Amino acid sequence: MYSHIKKKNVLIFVTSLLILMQANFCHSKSVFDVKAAYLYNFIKFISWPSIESASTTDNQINKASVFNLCLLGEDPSYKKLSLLDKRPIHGHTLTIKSIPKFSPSDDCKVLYIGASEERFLNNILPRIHSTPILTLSSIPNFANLGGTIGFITLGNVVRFNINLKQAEATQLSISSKLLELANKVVR
Amino acid sequence: MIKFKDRPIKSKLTIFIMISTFLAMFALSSLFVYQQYNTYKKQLSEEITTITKIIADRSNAAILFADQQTLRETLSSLALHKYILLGCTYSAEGHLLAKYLKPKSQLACPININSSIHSFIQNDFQVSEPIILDGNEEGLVYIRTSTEQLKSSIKATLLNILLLSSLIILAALLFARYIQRFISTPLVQLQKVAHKVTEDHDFSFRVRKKNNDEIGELVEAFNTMLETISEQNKVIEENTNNLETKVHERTEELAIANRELEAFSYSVSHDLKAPLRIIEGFSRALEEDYGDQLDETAQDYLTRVRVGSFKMSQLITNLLQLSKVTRQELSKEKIDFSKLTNKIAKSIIDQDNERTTHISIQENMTAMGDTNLVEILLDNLIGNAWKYSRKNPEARIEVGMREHLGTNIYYVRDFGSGFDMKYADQLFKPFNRLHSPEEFEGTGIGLATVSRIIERHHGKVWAESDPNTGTVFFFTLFPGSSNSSLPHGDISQDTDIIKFIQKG
Repeated sequence: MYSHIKKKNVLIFVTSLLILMQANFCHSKSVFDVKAAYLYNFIKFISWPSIESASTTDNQINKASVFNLCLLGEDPSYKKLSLLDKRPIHGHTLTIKSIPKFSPSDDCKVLYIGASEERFLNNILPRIHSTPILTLSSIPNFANLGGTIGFITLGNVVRFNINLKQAEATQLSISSKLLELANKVVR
Repeated sequence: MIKFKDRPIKSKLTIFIMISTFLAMFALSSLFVYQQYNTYKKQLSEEITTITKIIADRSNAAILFADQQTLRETLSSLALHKYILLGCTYSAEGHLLAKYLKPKSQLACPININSSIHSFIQNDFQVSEPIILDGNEEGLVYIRTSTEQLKSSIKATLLNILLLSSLIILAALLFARYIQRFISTPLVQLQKVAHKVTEDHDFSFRVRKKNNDEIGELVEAFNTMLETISEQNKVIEENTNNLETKVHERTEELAIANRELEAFSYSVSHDLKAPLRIIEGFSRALEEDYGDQLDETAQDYLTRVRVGSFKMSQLITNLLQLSKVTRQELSKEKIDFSKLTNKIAKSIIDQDNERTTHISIQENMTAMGDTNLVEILLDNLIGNAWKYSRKNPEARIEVGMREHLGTNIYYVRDFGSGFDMKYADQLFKPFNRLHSPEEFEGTGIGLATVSRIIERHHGKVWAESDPNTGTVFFFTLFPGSSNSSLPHGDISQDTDIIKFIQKG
């Protein structure tokens, strides 16, 4: 099956660049693809206090209710992250919200802080305080700076650090399985 | 090797019990092992499936984040299980992501594997479980385990069963021994007593009854039987004793009666002699003194009176002799039988010189007995022989002896007028005569006297006769052994005595 895809991949590569660009599915995964997938998977291993865990198993319930993923500022991975829009998560519908400025009224469950916001980090993070918001970023040392999960790149492999202290402060419960996989856990 | 049916009941019972125990144990053990095997199989399957599910669950995060290191670590915990040989984690696309291999084993993760395998392969068991997160199959965990566990469990079970079976069989053996007490032991005892009774003819033995079962009843019946037999024996013994006593009494009574009768006949005979002498004396006086005065008819009457009185005198003499023979005290002495016979032969020949008589007597014959009685005996027998030879021109008489089985058999033989053997049993009874008085004179008491004398000598007398060839009288005196059979047989015309005796 895999080899079949490879052949197909080679065929596509030779014939059309356009098709190559559009056929993201078949493209070899970029760092952004990986990050998007990781983000989606993080949500699976984290539970929010305001979301009923009972609904997580059944995708049909609360289909109408939204689960906001707010993208703050600008980041190279936003294009890929936008593809997660309307995906089911914890029995809700994942909704992408691009926001220029953070505001608690946006009802963000996950806040991705773009690379452009690195300078305002000291300003943004304290505002979250104990609100159950999962903060994510590719900004270096993000977890140490007070973010919940920070992507890091070791060579060409994407890994992540987790700030458990921050997670506890924001009442987020992170699965031990996820913690096991973290490159580093800040306690 | 003894055939089974000939073995003692004891060993038969033991064999039966042991065989049934063995069969039961074998059947139960087989069933138990079979069930145990299935249980172990199911347990193994469940255990490995659970382990696989746990590994799959533990691996879902790592597989989502493509963390092969963590996947390997998760799989490596399989090392804690002694029998797991191989563990493999696959991505949803079927790529091998992590592998655990038990040291020293040489197995490769299978390719193109599908989820939900539960099967035994060769000596191993394999399971695959999907890695599921939020209802999505994110990958697959495959585990292969050796069934050594199963084998060792079965081995342990078998060992236990063997141990238990041995104990049960031992218990059965002890039980069989115990059972013997109720069945074979009383039977053996019964058999022993029966044997003893048969050998010793002692019916006083009894078998002790132990239980109230059929064997107990048998023992009781046996004892009752012995009781009955011994009681009957007692009755028989009593009857025998009574009979002997009665016989003794009757014999005594009979002897007394006989003695009285003899005394009576003696006195009668004796007392008859006196008036007879008067008749005889006065009839002779009448003949001598008045003979010439009597006419012929009177003379004839007188002669008849004298003949009659002579005959009566003879009869009385003979009766007295018979009586004497019975009453006289018996002395047992050695007799020169030949000499005694000679003496009697001479006196008989001297009685009548008109007839030619040859009497041949065997020499050196001896006998044991009372001389007086044996003399009367010979006198009678030789006298008879001489008397019945009257019709022959010359009388020929033989007296001899032959030995037969340690006993001397004496014989007196004549060649005169014999008698019909069908009257032989009448021969020795008093007053029984086989010939008419006109043919041969006689009182009919002679052979009765002979018989009485032989009786007193505990001997036997018998005769062999033929009307044409003559008669032989045989007799024994104090025979050597009372139960020795004496020769009896038909005498034919040309039978020689010596031959006859030897033939007997």
